[in-house]
Amino acid sequence: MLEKYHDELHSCTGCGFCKKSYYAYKFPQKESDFPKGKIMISYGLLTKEIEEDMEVVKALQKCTLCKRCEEDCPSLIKITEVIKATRYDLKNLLPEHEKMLHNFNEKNNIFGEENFFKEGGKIAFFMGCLTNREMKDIVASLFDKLGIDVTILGGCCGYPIEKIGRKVGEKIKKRIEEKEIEKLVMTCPNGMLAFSEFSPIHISHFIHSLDINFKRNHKNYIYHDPAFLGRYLGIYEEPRQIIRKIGNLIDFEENKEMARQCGGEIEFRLAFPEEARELAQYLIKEAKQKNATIVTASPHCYSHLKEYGDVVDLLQLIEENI
Amino acid sequence: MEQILDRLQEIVSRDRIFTSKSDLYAYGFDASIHHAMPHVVVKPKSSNEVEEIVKVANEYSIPVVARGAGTALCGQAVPIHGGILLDMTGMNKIKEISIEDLYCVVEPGIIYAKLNEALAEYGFFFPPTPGSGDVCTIGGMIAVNASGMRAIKYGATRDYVLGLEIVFPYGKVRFGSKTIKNSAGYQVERLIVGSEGTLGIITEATLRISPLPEKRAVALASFNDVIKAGEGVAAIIASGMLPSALEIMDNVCIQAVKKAMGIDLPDAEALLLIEVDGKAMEVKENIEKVAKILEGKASKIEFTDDEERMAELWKGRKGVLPSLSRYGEDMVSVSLADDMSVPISKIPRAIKEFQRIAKKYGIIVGTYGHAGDGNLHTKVLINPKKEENWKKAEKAVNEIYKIVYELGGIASGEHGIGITKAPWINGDVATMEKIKKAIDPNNIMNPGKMQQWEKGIIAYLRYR
Repeated sequence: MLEKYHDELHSCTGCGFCKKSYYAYKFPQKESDFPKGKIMISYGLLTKEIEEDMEVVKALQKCTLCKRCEEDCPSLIKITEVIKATRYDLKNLLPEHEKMLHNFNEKNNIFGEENFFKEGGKIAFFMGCLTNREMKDIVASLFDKLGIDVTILGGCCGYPIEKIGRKVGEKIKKRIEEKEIEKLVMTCPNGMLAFSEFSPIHISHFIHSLDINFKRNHKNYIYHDPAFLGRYLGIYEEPRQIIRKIGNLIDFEENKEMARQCGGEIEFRLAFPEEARELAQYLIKEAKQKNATIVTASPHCYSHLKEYGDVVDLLQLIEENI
Repeated sequence: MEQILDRLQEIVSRDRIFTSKSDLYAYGFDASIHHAMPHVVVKPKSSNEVEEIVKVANEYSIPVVARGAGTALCGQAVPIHGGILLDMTGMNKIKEISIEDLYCVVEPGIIYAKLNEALAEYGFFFPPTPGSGDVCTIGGMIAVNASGMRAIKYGATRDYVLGLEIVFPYGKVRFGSKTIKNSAGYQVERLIVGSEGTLGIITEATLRISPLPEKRAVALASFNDVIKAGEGVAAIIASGMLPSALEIMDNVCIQAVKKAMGIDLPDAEALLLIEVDGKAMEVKENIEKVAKILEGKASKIEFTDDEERMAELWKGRKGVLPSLSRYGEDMVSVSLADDMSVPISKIPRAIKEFQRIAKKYGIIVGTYGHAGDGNLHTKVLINPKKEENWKKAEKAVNEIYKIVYELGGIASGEHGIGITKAPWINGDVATMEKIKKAIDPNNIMNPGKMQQWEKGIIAYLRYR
């Protein structure tokens, strides 16, 4: 897959501007920890100046694909596309990713957990592995409160598997095709990207369209833009509009397109827990300084950030205040 | 090599020694056209560690190359003879800020922008403003005598180096002081500035600092002709006023920035960005003066003191270099003939000559730079996969430097010599080599670069 990026790799001037956001952290210890290093390693693999070994695998997997560095790249290099394409060409996986893939193949769930299903009407909610683990009861309760007989589809969307550079089958997609669904709602941006052909609706969009009156409070909520909801799907406003109806919305210093990654992407934090912790704590620190509860709108971010501070998922916030 | 590795492990912990092929490969790049791999990368944390490492290298006569953020444009950090690459970014502390004495003491791996963030809290700054300031290190800036758009008023890195701690092959030494003035002996610290790691490794720097200006404002002037823009520059300088920046961009660069960065710039043949700073009243007076001077020369002038618009304009200017990589299909911007300096009045002539040379060889050359201090940047756009393009580019570059020297200029204003400009180094190379031999008799410090380079510049190419 990498061959088609040959010209792209030549366009990288090596200016190193992609390092800018990384300087806030301690974890980048060597060149390959920065986007530029990963781009150069991809180039070396393409030109066969270097060969794959586990150091190469580690260097290329140590990236959340959040696209934050691309915001600082004046040559507009498709850094994450290159890294993802290189991952597809790698023969080896990290042990944590092997396990994830095994669980996916065996149980259609990256944790190897039981998936939740519920038959219902024509509005379907896709649960995914992370939502299933973190908030399945809240999902059920939310739709009860809304008076919607929801169909709940469980199982992995496969996107985290694609992110580590492995292809997934069409099984789950077929299950969606078989159902008579009018609206496919979900909260996980990974799932939305995996199922883009079904035009899924993010929960924030769905709730916003219902024009609900919420219970109001005077708390400060600081919204963390999940990278895959924001930079990938362009959803910035709906979550903010809902939060504004509930409490006092504030923003991180770097927000929307410039939002920092929290380290919550499951495949990243399973393999690189220390780096993921540092990414999370950077945001937690700012939220604390601003005396605010973090609200996020991706189960990847929520399940990670809650380990380190005061965090709610948007879905939770909606369910509590509806 | 194994013996050397054992010795290195006695000095720094194993987790700061990198030997995997991929690490060595990734560290072999800077922002130049060159690439070469070291035998080992070591990330020291203290000057004592650097001293011990250099001692080992000297004992075994193996090269030592220092590297900051790897943003050098001429191959300064590319270890062409292998050896030990020192990743200096682990030494990144600000050791002291003494506002009342106008200095700060830093380790070489501190990022320029981070130092200025810390100084801004006191209302001060370290003025040389390289385009790569958000990511480059102070050590790298000293090594190449970096500067940038504010050099016209504030000077270059050399003007701010008060003292240095340096590790030479024979040990750690200190030069300079914490005083503003110094006539107490050879100013070796000034010789080290611009020596590109060929004499020693900088392990600490005492830098002069300046108060931040109260206010800044920018004028953006469009011109139908690059010669007129050059006349505008000459007129501003001749008026006696001293702008804090006076930048020029030709049409190739304007289009590249618009395309790559989506920044709102006028469609002109040339643009001048003129910044003035100081007290609010002074800024107002000077910006009005600029308008008057450029009347009749510029086709359009826009003024702003809006922080956001000024930041956008400077972002566009700083992004010229990498943006040129997106100028055309199959063409990328390669760092060749990148920062010639000519006498200020010769700028229009130089730009016209560069355009003529580009046309002659059928290549695209974008010209931009610090017009106010005579420092021009050109970027050559070629398809790097074709060998004949490199040959054409090399011929064009040769002619560009010939013209530059004819106009009374020099090969490098702020990026340094490294490999890419080595054939056009300025001054008596025999003397330089005598100094080098006296300090580094085993030739271990970044060997083969600057005055020691003997080949053509299209060598150790990173493009495949």
